[in-house]
Amino acid sequence: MTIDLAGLLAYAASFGVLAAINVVICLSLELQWGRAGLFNAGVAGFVAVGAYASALLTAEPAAGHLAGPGLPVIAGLAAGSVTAGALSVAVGSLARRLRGDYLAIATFGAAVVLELLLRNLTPLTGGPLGLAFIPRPFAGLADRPLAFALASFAWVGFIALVLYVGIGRLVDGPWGRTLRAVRDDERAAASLGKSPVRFRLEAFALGGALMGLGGALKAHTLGFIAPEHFPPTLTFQVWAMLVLGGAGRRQGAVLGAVLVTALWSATDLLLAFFVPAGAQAQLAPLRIVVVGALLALGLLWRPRGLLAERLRVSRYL
Amino acid sequence: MSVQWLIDGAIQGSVLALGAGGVTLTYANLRFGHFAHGELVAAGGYLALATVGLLGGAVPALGAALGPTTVSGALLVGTLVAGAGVAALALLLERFVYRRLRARAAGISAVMASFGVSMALRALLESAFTSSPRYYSEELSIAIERGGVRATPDQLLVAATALALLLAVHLVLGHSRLGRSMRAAAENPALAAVTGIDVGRMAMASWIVVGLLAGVTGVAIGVLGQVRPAMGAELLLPFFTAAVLGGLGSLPGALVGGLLVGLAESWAVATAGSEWRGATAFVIFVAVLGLRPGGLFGRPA
Amino acid sequence: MTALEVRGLVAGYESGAPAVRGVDLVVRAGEFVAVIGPNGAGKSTLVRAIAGVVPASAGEIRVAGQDLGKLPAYRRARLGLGFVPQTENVFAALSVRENLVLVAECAGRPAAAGIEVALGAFPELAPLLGRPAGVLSGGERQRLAVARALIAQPRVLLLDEPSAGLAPPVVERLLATLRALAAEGLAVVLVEQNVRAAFAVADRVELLVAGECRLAGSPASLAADPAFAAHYLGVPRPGAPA
Repeated sequence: MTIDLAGLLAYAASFGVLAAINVVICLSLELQWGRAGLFNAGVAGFVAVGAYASALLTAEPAAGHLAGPGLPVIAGLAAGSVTAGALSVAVGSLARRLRGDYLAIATFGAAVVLELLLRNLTPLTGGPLGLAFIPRPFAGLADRPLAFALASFAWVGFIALVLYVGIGRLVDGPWGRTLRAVRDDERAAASLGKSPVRFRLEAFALGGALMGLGGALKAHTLGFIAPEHFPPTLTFQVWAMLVLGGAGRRQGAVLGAVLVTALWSATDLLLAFFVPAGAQAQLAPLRIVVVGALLALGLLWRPRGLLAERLRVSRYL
Repeated sequence: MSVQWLIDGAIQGSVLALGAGGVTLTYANLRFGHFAHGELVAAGGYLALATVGLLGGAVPALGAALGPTTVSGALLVGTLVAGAGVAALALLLERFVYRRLRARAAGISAVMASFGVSMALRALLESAFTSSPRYYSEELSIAIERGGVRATPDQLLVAATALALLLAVHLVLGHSRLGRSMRAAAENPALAAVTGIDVGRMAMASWIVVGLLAGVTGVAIGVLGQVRPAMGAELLLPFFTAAVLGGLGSLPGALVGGLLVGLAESWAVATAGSEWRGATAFVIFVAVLGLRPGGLFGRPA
Repeated sequence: MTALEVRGLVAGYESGAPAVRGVDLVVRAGEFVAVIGPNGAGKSTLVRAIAGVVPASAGEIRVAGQDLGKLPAYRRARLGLGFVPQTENVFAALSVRENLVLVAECAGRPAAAGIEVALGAFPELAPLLGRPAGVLSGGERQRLAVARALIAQPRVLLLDEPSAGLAPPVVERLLATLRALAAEGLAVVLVEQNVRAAFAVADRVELLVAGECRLAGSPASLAADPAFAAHYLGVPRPGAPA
């Protein structure tokens, strides 16, 4: 048996693309939850909005749906971020003080409704079939898998790196300090003249915009998108990444994203190679159980980084 | 327009009320939004299905439908099994996942864990039963028509059961020693402890009641429609909406909220089309947050 | 007869050091002990640790000879240890009647007997029975809180600053009631910020400083201690305060 080095490398690069996109999404959740303490149970919806917005603006005019201006990919990425950010402002404003379970239900509900819209607004979204022919950068290399995978990894990885550094600057700067103050002691922050609601909304919007960017990256690396690319399990995977890696640190978000992506890809390979086709449908859902168990174990055994800074002394206990 | 949508809405609403009752009770007594409630519901649906499969085959007399309904004696036993089984499942989750997480500061890590539990349980159900729909009975429930509106005996039975169960739970929690202790433990665990109440046991008692409600909710959904792994998850948003509309923590609120959400959904289906059923709850949720965040019967925060 | 015996109690942590560091406290049945001391001395932590709401890391807690130190708070409550927390000491969402009935049920007594005990100590609660406890005034709440604790017929009653935020006449009545209960055989441990109020009712006063008992004795003997009087009674003055 010969080892196909080029094939292996191409696989590694496409894994890298997937991981880099997940890093972007996980970093944005880290911003919302880790830095601002905002619970988002509808990550998949915000990612989907970014993907669809970017796809619609960049795709060539085609029969059957409204896609069309054929803008450059960079404009699509920007539009995807802005759209998802605006949606975040809308959803965030619903749960006025952006705290607790109401925000969880609001984001969860928003994702449910978004999925409904994607499936039913067929003229715009392509319905269950989704959108195809989304421009992919370096598509000219597509007949050389290795070169294309490496090029894709290069540009997506570059964006992820820029975000990593940029978010670092932001959260270590004055804005990030205020955000931490707001998260840790709302009243004290308010007494210093900082509006806690405004800062939280800003963090929520920025996080939402970056989720949209992650979705747009997904659209422009896959070349086609459909509602099934943004299932509720996506939300859950991103949470598992953040919890495992440790919220409150960007490094944690990156580590978690890479680990869970790797776990997901590895179980995918295991299923494909070692499980007869007939049993795959039955065993595939068990991957989610594995990730779910990891999430629960992470919460139980390694809550540090997640809540260590948030612990407050309760009334008596 | 016919008033049929009112009947349909009230029937669907009674099922939503049952689910919302479980959600609101979890919120009141265990202090967190339980995102795996939909899977508790689905687990109930499948436990009853398994019971019907086992009993209906073994004891032919139990397999026969009762009266004009399609509900068999085996399904009645199955309903009890579903209630008890889901209560046991909820206790397991409390013991191994939620108990320690609930004690933590904001309680949001219990919410997050429930999100994971939800995905994992649904995946287990899919793995065990596949996602294709199953039914308790192959018979059809024939609608009764009165004054231009129709309802099947199954629907009436389900609605009556749902309302009776909610009322019973409300009375028990409102007027019994157990109910008082549960409310006390929910409001102020530390004071409850120095009063002599075993707070841990009260949490378990709350889970038992929540599990019972969820199990019966699953059977109710299955009798009116299909048994599928996502049968409860798909209704989670209406459950939450009904609970928030009625005021989180209030069982009568969950009942009224459930009926209102059911009626609204039914009206939306009648006027806008069935694909928009799912959006109705969210619209109501948004309206409640905007107009009356405490809900209709909410306690002052 | 010794009602409460605490030996070497270490409990509560604030910035690395225990808030209570090896406290001994012995209270006889019918004795009224006031625990005083500056803010942050560990007074609250002491009674909360005895009640079991904050964990103790060392020491023994005996009520009528039985070691309760390892038991959860609800078992201690059932074994004769009553505790009135400083705040949130009634169930606001429950009615006054439910608050009382609840304790009676937990103590295995008929509801009517519980209400009778409560109204015996605080007759003014009678017209309030149907109201939610959350709407009571501060004084009414404190009386309900003490009444709640009495229904379980504890051997020992711990109170964490029940007078905080109350008008002086209300405090006076509350303390008089506690005094009367002590006379009937209840062991009372009162954490009190107001030293004069404590001196007026207590048989014995324990001074807690930095988590340790520094001084103990009758109000008269402490008041006669010039250093103590200068520090805690404001101006040095001869004799004991009334």
